[in-house]
Amino acid sequence: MESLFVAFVILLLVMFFLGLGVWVFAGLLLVSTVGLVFLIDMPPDRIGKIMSPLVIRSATSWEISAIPMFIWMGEIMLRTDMSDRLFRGLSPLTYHLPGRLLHTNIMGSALFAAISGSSAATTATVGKITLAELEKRNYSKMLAFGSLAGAGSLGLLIPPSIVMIVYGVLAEVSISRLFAAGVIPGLMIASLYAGYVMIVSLMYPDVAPPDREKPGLKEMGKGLLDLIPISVLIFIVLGSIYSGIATPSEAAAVGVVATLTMTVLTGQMNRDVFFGTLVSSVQTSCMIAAILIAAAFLSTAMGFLHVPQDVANAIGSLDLSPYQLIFILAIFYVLLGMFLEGISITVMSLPITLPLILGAGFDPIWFGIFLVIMVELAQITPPVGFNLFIIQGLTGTPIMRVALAALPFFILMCVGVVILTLFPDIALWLPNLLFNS
Amino acid sequence: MTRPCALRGAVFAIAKRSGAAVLIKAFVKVNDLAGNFAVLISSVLLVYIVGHITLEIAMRHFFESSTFSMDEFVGYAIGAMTFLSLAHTFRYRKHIRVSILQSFVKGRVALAVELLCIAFTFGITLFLARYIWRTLERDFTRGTVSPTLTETPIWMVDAVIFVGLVLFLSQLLASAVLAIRDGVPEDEAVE
Amino acid sequence: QDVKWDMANEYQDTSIHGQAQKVFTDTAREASGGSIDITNHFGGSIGYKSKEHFDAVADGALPIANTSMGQVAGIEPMFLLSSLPFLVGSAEDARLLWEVARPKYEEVFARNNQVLLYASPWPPAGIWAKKAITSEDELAGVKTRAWDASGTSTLINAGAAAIQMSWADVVPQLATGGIDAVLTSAEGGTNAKFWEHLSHFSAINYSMSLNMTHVNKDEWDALTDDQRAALLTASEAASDAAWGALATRVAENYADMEANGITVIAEVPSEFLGQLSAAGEQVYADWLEKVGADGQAILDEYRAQKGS
Ligand code: NA
Ligand code: NA
Repeated sequence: MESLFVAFVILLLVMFFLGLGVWVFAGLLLVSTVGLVFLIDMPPDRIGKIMSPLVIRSATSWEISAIPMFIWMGEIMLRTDMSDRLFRGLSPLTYHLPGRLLHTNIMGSALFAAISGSSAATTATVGKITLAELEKRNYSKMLAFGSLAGAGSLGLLIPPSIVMIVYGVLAEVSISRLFAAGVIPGLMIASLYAGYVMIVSLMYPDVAPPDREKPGLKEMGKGLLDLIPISVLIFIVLGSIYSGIATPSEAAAVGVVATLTMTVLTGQMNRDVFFGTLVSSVQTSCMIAAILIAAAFLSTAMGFLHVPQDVANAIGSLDLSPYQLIFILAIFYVLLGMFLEGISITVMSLPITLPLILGAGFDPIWFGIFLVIMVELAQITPPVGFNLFIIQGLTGTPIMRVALAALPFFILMCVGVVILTLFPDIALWLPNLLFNS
Repeated sequence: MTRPCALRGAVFAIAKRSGAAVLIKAFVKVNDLAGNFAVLISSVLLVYIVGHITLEIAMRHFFESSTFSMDEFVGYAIGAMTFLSLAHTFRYRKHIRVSILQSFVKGRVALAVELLCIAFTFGITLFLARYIWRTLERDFTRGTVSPTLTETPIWMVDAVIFVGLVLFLSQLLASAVLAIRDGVPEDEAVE
Repeated sequence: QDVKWDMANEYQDTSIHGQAQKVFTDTAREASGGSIDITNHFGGSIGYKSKEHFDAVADGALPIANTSMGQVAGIEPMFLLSSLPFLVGSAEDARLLWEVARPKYEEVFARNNQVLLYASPWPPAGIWAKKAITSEDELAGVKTRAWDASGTSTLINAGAAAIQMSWADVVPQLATGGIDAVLTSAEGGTNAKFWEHLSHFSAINYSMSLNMTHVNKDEWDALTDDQRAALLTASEAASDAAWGALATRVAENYADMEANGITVIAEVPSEFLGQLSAAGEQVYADWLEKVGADGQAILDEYRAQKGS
């Protein structure tokens, strides 16, 4: 009962500070501080002494270094012709699919996901390329926003992935295996999205109006040529990881160097591209890192409030079967995901959930993939959903409408989780094939 | 904001009478300059991060050696980059907030809400800065170094973070003044 | 009065330190008649790493913590002692060194507003590799991951291509050939299933560094005499559990490793050990320069007692 009360007070505080519109990073620090004072009478002086070294530590941790680099890479692609080529390359290929250009969101996200470790970078980059083009051609806004919100989050599931690195460190499992395990579930969810878009387009042809001539073989070929730059990038980044030249956390630097080199080679490098991308990458990274730092402190506060222990004991005492446990945890994560962002969800919850999961006999690699999908769900649930924010920013559409557009894709991702739970080999087959020789 | 706002009028009247309008302008300007300079350093740090990691990969792969400092220095750089760009990122409204309430309120209420949000943010940042200063002071007087080959004095890292927080606090004040003078700004796109 | 403490530990509850800590908190609760209730936060789940424990306990931010001492040597150089290379060859040596140095450690903790309760040892570190490493020739040029500055510098001096990298990167780098060897304990490699990538373990007994459990002085002073007695009883029990577990733990690890195809080289030629020790001289010189006569006195006393 006591932990329910604690959780309820924290929820109220989150609703008060974030609902008021306090910037998220400051809001989370406030929630933690007020929560500790109010709930366990911790003296403010002690809270300050706890906060200071932990803020310094989490701000200077090597693990978050990949984020600004992936974002920088995406920014460079946006300001060069690499992103246009991605759209031009995909559009003739999608002509024969019901839903046509709507698939550029899904395919574009899946492709960009293969080189970027962050869902924010994936959604922003693909959205900037596709949303305006789709609107110009009178495609359904709901489907355009929804498929982007859903598919953009694949940046976390399709390797490389920042959340997977964080999970790997915390759960002491191989990051290479995690990366391999994410590939097939990522493609599966992308296929679910594509299937949904096709079905809706067959039922309501208006959502994807026919707008152009049937592409000939020549156009198809040209489209494939346009996909070469991004394919080369994917090859270099993934190649550097799987050949052992770079560690997964270093691969982002390889990606930046490769993108910069390509920009120079294609004669597109200039001062504006270089400095413009740098400053906006720094701003975006600052925004994300600030939230991560505050979220780390919130999770420490939860520790002092004994929330992890209490929830673990509560769930443990229910004596659940493995499937029931997964079901309860999924609900727990969706609730958590409404308010928190991916990495903080992972850091905060793992000490609670990992022992339960291992105790119930689940594979930690499989659970990593499950957790990453939970984090992806969090990206598209209001009131705090990064992908929703990004689409709100790109289009000026109110966040609740974007969330509504994303709802079908939220449900599809839940379907993906059910399939993954029933058939864990979808995640485990590839890493076992690659690493059990 | 189109509706005239009594509070804003009053502040303006006082400001004009005392010649504070010039002061406000100067304060905003100084903040902009400091923020721009700090974000420039942050940008250089991002380039440095990519450079150091690339160097490490090259040394390990081609020379079977190491810079023996990658995790550590890249970590410091990330921390410095984040805190030095806090103010600039805020100035350009790139920090995320849940703007549900903001879309409902207008005029004086909107200004009051905005000022309240800034006040809360200022309060918690001041609190944090006070204790970062304490850590900085102790690490400096005691001469704490990192437990690594480089034995880097830790107070340097604390100091950069502290400077970033001070710049951010000052920017919060400037933003509050601007909100009173010009109305509540729109939130920028999140990228 | 009732005491409710949160106790931080960066390592998992299954490690030697975690197991001993459970003995500590359970015994403390029992011996104090339930008036001391310590909540364990294993695996760094309360957000602290060893590096921050020392100041956190000094400040009273944390009442009590279990800390890997090499991590706080940047604050108090004396704490590097137990991670110095090739100082102790066996569990008996490690325990002797701990007992000889304990008064000095206590003094350093007291100066920092803390009370030292007990120490628990890490199993001895050796070299995991794709081949037997029993001579300088075999070590030459091998890309080896070390966990701290002393290890890196010792291995470089011994001719290896030593690299310091975070634990998270170790397994991916082994899988892809980015590194060929890792300096760590039998246990560390067993937990990470190194046999998927490596074939040999050479027990060079590099070091057996210590974790220490330390409590804030103000919290300690606020306890009743009975409670302090209960904590001392619990410390003794935890210490016995940790040192007692060491031998069985290493034997279990070796059995596990051999079952998974690892060749364990338990006896490394003394000539090689001599060369490795020589390679570690620099680390000693640097350390003695920082701690001065105090450090030399401990080393002299330790060697005298060991010799007799
Ligand atoms: Na990705
Ligand atoms: Na959410």
